Amino acid sequence: MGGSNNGTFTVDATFNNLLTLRSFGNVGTAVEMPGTQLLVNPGALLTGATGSANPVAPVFQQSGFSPSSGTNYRFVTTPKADWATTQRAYGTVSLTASTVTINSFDLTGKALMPEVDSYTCDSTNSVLTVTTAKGSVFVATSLQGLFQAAAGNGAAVSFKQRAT
Amino acid sequence: MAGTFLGVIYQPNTLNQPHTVGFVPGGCAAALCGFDPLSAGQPSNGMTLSPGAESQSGLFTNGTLVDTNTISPFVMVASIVVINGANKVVLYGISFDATANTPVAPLLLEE
Repeated sequence: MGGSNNGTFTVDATFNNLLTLRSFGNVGTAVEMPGTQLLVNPGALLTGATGSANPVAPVFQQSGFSPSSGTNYRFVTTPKADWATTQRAYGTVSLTASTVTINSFDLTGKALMPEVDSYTCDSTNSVLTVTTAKGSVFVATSLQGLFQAAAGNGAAVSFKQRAT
Repeated sequence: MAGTFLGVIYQPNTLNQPHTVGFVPGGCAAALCGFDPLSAGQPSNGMTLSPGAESQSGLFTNGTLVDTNTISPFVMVASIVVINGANKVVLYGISFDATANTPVAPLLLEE
């Protein structure tokens, strides 16, 4: 995303959790879930930046913890432009102390090949490094059970599964 | 889904920019009805979101999103987080708009 950029947040007059971002005359928006997530739609703020032409950024507070073994997450893919409906659309992630098991489905519900990978956790930053056959994937986690993976069309936004 | 949801409809290509949206229950035939939360006029008025039946806890796999085009199947996962002692719902979804030829991913947070 290039270098740092300074700007301001302004709370919307109607919706307390809706923020307007302004930086050097450019405008974006964000939706805040207090203490949980900031969902940023940068709009024109990233004009000229490399990477995605139209990014969106879920941001979590660094909570300084490691997810527990036995934690299960449910996710949907954050798709790139070339994502196809036959690729991973949603599924579950289960953690042991050192492995993640991903069971996933395409958009029509067809089960895809399960994937088991090893991982380590940087508990200071609450970031998992997952070692896959295609390289390392970095996963930001939050104390509220959310996570965001940065892995191309395997990228996912997710949260801890509710008890059934 | 009784609350007001704000978030972003993410469409990852150069022709369909992500837009900030709002959804509330009531006022249309679907479970959630879109509105424009910004005075600048994002194109969310008239959008509807029908998650369909919950196939597993927190998982909806047969929904429909209408945003000019009718987009289905629409898959959505839902969870509850506690904000200042109150339960708030988080909704993440995915589908593919075959007419606009783009993936569509709504990310919605309850106000």
